[in-house]
Amino acid sequence: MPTEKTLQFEASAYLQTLIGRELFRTEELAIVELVKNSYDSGAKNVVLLIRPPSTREPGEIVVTDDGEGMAIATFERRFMFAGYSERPSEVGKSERIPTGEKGIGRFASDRLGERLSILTKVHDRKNALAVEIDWSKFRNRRRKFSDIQALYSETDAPELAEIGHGTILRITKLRELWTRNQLLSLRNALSQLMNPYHRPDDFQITLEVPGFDVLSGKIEQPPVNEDNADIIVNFRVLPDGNLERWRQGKLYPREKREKQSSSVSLKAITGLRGRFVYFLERPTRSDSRGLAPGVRIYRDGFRVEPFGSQDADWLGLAAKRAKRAGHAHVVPTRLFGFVEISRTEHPDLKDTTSREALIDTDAARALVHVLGEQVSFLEDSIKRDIAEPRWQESRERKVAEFERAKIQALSIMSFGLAHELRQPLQSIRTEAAIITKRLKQLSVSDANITRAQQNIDVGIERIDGNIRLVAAISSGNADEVSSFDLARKIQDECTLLATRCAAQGIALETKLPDSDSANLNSPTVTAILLNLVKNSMEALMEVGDGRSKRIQVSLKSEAGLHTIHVSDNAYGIPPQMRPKIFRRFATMKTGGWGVGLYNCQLMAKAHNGSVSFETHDGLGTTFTVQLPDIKEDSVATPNPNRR
Amino acid sequence: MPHRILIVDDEPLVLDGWARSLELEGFIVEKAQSAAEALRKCDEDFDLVLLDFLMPGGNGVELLARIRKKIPAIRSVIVSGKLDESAEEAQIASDLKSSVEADVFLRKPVADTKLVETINHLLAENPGEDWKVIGRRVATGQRVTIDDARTAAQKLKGFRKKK
Repeated sequence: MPTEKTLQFEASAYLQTLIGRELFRTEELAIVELVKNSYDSGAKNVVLLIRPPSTREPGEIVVTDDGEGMAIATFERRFMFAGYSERPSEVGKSERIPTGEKGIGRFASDRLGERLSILTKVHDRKNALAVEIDWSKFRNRRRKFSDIQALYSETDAPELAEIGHGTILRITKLRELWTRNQLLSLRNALSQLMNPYHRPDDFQITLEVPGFDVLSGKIEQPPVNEDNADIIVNFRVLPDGNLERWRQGKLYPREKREKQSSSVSLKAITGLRGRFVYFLERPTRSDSRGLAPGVRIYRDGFRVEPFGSQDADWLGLAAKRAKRAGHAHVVPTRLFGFVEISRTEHPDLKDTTSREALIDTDAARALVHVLGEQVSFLEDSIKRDIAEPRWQESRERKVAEFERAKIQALSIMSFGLAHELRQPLQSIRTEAAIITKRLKQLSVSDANITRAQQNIDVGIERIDGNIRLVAAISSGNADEVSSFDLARKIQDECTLLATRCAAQGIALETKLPDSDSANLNSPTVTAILLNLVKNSMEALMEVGDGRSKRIQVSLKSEAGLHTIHVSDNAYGIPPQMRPKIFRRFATMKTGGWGVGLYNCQLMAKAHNGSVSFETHDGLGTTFTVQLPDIKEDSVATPNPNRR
Repeated sequence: MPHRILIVDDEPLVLDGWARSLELEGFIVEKAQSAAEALRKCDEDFDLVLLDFLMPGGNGVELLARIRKKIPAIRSVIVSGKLDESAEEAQIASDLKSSVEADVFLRKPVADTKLVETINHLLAENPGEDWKVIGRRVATGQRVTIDDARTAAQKLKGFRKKK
């Protein structure tokens, strides 16, 4: 049996440089890492003091916390042992779930400065432990990792005397200049570090930058102003692997929680909670509370980078929008997502060491899937409840506008036509008079001639009267509300229509008040009335049982509401037609377009009014139009969601 | 001596009809189919001008103002074929302020009897009571009594107030 010998792996001291300086992409991330270490040590307060280097001062970063501190044994185990971190199960008296899982956080100080002085004291020891670390020693690739030494001593540490326990990290020989912009960006990163909804209430970060009062102070971040949010999608992964979801916000004031099944297994992310807060318009600063938009993940209350940062389009929202321009309804800059995961409940949702993504596991895939589904749900909500109604409404408005424009076109034409017709009428009238006069001069006296001229005059007056009527009923601007006498307008219209009705053997009667001052869009009234009377005429033309055919138009006005009834005594609307009478292309007639009543209703709606009907089999139908007076100078269009 | 009437209308049918009809009534009639032609003819004197409100390139009131510059005391009848009566009147009112007023407005198609009656009435009005006639007398160097002038001035004042 061959004897077995062992080989041993050794690490170059340079490994530390790889971890400490290259793994932490930015100085902000390095500081966040140190803050998390403080949190893990059970600190309630952590104070970050930054003195930017200047010509007079070398500059320093001091991280002071009131955590448990470390005795020499703990220090050796926890601090000097690279890659070690305590499992959640190993955590003793602290109820906190450690945020660090890689055991490399301490090396982040190398990213900030070359020298690190540690002063740490535990509660029941008299003296504190002072350790000096010079990270530059690790630069030597030939030396072994374990050969690097750090000096330590015991000291009475007056700085820690007051609280009695805690750790102070003093970083010097800084690598950054810490300009105002860097400091601002750091403050921002720190304020977004914790979940604004469930921030640990026993942990406070304070930033102190001597000489910068604006930047100094407690770090606080309230959640976005949900009162002004339009859509909030809440969701939770239930233990049975299903998703519970409900909406809130201005659009969905009270919605019940509903269970949703997902197409993938959600077991690995049970307990995951989240909310998407969406604003239909870009939120103001007071609504966003200074939070940048984006979907963030928080693990046990702490932000998981880089999810939700501006350049991380991890749910593909920006890409989708770029690709589908007007058809992607979710605008990334209006979405604020807060997703909560836990290290204990979701051990498989692990960051890569570079903190750039989650390690690709089933759990991570389920997470992305669930969030993608919620984005789709949000998108559908916007589409169904905002975009499509808006589109539908604008279409209806266009139809109503078109109808009014048709009447206006008639009006414009009738004005030109009036002038054109009146010239020959004038000529005929004058010539008839000349004939009479000349005959008189020639002493030809004939009652017939006089009669002829009189009749020509009467005929001409009648033609002229009709021209005037057409012009009067079709007058009015398609887009404007004007005040006019509605009773007179209806009378004019009916006078004109009566001739047409009479030709079909139909009597058109009116029951109108002497006058009725109205403030309406005049073409709307004309178009609706013409359509309804035409409708009744067509219904009556099918009547063949010898009854005397009648259409009655009546008007009643009360408190600014004008009610017009158009009744006929035809056979009535057959039951199967009744529900769809106002639908587009619903017609009983051959050759009808089926848009008449549909358009009537749209026009009345655009005028904040309504059209309804009552019908009796074999006895007739009454259509009722209600139009309220409009106060402003334009046709009101109900459009609560105007952008 | 028969009265001289100038008829201005761009519609030949109407122009010709009115001309023959008024000639039958014993007037001396001149026809003009455009504003330019009308102004040219106004180098001669007329007692009355009958014009259409709608003229290509300007309305009847504008033309009347220019005719009045040539013949200050001319009587006038404007006939309109326009439909929108209120708008027309509003326009005339505003035009009146800046230029002149017509004596009578009629609407097309006007009955022949009505037209003849209106013209005869205008031409037969009591000259002593009308400031335009007084103006005409002054312009042509005739005598004007103080009383006539005072009555005319009061009428004119009342006319201004009404507006």
